[in-house]
Amino acid sequence: MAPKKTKKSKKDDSMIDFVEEEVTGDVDEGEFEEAEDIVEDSDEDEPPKKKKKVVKKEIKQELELTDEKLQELLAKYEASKTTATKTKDDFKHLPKSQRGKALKKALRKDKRARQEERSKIRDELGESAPQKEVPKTIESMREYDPTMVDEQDDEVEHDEANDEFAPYFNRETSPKVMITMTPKAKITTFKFCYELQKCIPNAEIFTRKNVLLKTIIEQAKEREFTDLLVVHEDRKKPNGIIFCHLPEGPTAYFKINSLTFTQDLKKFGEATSHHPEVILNNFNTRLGHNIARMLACLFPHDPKFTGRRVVTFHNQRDYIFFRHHRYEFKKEGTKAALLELGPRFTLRLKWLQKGTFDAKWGEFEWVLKRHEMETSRRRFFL
Amino acid sequence: MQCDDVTWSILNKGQCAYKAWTKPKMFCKNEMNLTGLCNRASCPLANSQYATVREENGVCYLYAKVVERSHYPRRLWEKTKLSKDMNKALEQISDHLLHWSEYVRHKCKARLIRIHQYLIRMRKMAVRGNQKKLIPIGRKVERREKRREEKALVAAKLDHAIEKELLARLKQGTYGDVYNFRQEAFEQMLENTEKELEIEQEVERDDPDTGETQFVADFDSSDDEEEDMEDGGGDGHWSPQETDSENEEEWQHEEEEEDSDDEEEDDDGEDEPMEVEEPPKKKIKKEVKKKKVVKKAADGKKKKLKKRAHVEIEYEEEVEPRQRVKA
Repeated sequence: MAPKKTKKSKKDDSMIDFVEEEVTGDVDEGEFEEAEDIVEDSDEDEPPKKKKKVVKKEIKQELELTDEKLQELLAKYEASKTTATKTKDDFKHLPKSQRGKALKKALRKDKRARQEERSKIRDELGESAPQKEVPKTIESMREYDPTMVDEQDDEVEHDEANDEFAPYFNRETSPKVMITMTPKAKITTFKFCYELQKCIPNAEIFTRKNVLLKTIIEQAKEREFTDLLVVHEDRKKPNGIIFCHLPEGPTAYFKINSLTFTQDLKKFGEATSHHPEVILNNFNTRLGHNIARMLACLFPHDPKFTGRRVVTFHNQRDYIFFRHHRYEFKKEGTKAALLELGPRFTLRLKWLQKGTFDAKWGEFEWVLKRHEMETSRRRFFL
Repeated sequence: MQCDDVTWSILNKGQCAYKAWTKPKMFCKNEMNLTGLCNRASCPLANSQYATVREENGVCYLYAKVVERSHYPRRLWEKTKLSKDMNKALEQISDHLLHWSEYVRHKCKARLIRIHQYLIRMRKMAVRGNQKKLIPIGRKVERREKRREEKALVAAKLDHAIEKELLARLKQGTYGDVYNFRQEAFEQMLENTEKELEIEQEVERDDPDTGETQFVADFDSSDDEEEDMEDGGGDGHWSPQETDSENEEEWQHEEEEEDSDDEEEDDDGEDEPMEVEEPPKKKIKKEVKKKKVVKKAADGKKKKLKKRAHVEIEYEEEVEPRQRVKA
């Protein structure tokens, strides 16, 4: 089927070229030759020229027809975008309470039908069809954020070369993570901590034992931990993480949403001890970059590719989705099959603090304030 | 006209604003209550001689009322500041309530001790500074966030995004030598197969001619001797004819394939030190891998065949428009 379509489109191309020539009035041979390479190649003597003219006239007739048709189709196409065939007057036979629903349903059906009609017209038009409109999604209509980071931004690069995570990215430190929880944590929180330990290599779990966070931070610094995760719980379920980069790095608080343990997944695999790769998707703003760098610091530098483990932090509309997979390339590296390994959860950044954790005197770099900041659905910060 | 029994009977059986109905026992909400229970002995309203201990801003006071002052509501309670030292405070209580009922004296002391305990705990917590701050959770906000999260999850197309990223990394060459199907090598292989295809087509055209000449060279020596000689020579020795040279190329390709096989085997060899613990299994694995390699090669050939078919179609496509234009 494919080659046939392309032929059609080629026809259309040649037709369009001719139409343009008509408009200009005199037909230049050069243009003509451009349109039809093979005729040009054949000969440049006089007799073939006559032949050409005959050919031209024939094709012109065809073209005029198709031109009209083309306009007609285009008009039809535009019309099918706007006009709805159903109105609310069509449902007057129904009781008032059902009219709205019926109209909505009919309009939906109508929309689908018009979509199909348009696709048919597109097929007829071939290459001369108008461009498809880009669908309006929340992502594509996102409000402009002045801190959006471009690929090459010297200022940002300079900042990032000198921030708290620079030692990790310069390979001066290797990550060592301490995981702890609220005092008197319940079993699900412990379970969550063990799941985290499974995902993050070189992580150790300590029970809190009612020790103050500040003293924990001091102790962790002494033992050369690079990161501290404190899992908070509410109604016996983990509901938040304080993520503190040590020794002087920033502190972030994430809310945990929709947590699914490995055992509750429909299909899951057993995690291996190889160092995983990390995927950080969609962290675009300056703040997002910082968070992404912070998250990257949890994992060792050189992932073992033979383990085929991958940990993903995917940011979509300020929700950071955590996933843990084992992958396998199939079909000679054109596809990747995924098997889920670890827990699933969603993080939502609530605040970011400069320095290590200090609830009273800490300097907040960023705090999510609902009334001031959530003014629009299309405004995102990460 | 103080009559405790009448008061109690009214409060107990009828209405009392301080009654708190809870499951195991009835409690009293009156702040002057000594025990917090609702009963005859500890009711501050139905006892005209009554005493209690209260804490105000960390300081304990002994409150006592007697029937003589019952008609002066303003001076009803006698308030005595208790010492911060608990033992002294206990002595104070026992002095003040010297001839009172044992029940009241005992309960006042118990209450004082309890108050001191919670004061100590409060001070400790204040010093340690690990006070929890309770933050209300907006139910509607929560619901909205949940819903937005669901929508974001749908919009994220996570599996697709992850797969895309992984494939991009593979293409970039992040994985190095871990995988054999590097994209460049794959594309090269494709190009090679295309070349082979063209060559083969030409070979098919040439074949009948060469066959004829061979026959002529062997048996006929009459008509075109020169040509015959050339052709014969061509057959006997190495000649610069197209077909042979192309055959050479094919040979080279096969050699390359063999080389690549060797490389794979070498890779296996590199893996060996990693699995030193199990020597007997290793050989089996190796054999299996070899078989796999052979299979891969076979698959590759099949693919080549498929590719040939595709290219032929393209060839037709190129031809047709020319014909049309000429006509």
